[in-house]
Amino acid sequence: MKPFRRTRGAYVARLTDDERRVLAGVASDVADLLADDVDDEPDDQPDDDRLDDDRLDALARELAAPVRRPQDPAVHRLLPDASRDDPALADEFRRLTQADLRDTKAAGLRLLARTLTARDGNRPSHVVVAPADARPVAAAMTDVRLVLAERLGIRTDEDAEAIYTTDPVTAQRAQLVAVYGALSWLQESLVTLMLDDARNGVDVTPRGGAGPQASG
Amino acid sequence: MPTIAPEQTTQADAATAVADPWVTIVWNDPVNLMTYVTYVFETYFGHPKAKAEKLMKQVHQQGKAVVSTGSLESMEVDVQAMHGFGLWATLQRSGQ
Repeated sequence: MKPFRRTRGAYVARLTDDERRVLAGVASDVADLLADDVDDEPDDQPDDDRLDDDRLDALARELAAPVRRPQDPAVHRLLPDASRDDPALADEFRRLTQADLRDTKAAGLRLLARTLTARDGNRPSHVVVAPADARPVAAAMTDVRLVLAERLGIRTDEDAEAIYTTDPVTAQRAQLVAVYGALSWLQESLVTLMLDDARNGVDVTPRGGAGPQASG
Repeated sequence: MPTIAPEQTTQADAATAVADPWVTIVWNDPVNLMTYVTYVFETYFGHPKAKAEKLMKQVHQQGKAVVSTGSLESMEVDVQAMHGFGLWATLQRSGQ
């Protein structure tokens, strides 16, 4: 694995086939995890489409009902509470934003997975991030790392350091630590270039952009 | 056909409805890279390098920092954007 560098107007890293496959797989898994832990939308319509008063009452209650907090703590970290001390404010924020945020994140994660698997015939080891995609790709790297960190039990800055020096005990944990380390290292190299370019006035996203939207 | 007088616009209402000042707070976490947090503060908020780095260090060392202030609506936009970047942000009334 070679870190991101500027090459022909893009950010380019070099990865082996195995590295690409593993990292793209994890990005897709996190996108699926987000999609599976959904309750942003009202439940499916009942089989019986008769709309009697009871049913209308139930529908009205459902539309006014708060959007559920994610059950999985890793998904909750991606869609966190917007208030620490005001549950009503946090619920209202969730009701207004959760579906959009979930869609944006899923799109970014799928962009990251596509970026990791796309191949240039002449340069098969190159992973190419176009500047316009850099922001959602970097955000998706963060999302994957947040989920891995939750699974690894990283709660403090000390925990984050200790994962590399503690015996991982199981092969599965060793793999998660390796993926977390690789993504952290790749993200650092990418964001260092992005920050450098932003300071030199070549950032492609204007101030106050709606956040890390994936372009497609 | 009755004539309907143009509706009076009540500009006074708008003037008195001054939004409560709210703040957006970003909290420390063990995952986000210092470079990335600085990048978000510089490119999303438009903070100059020195201010972005100061805020990033404040988050890292003191556990949190106020990164923007304004109306509830504009803080909701900022908090949603921070969550989009994977930073944990909350909003609250200024001074709480």
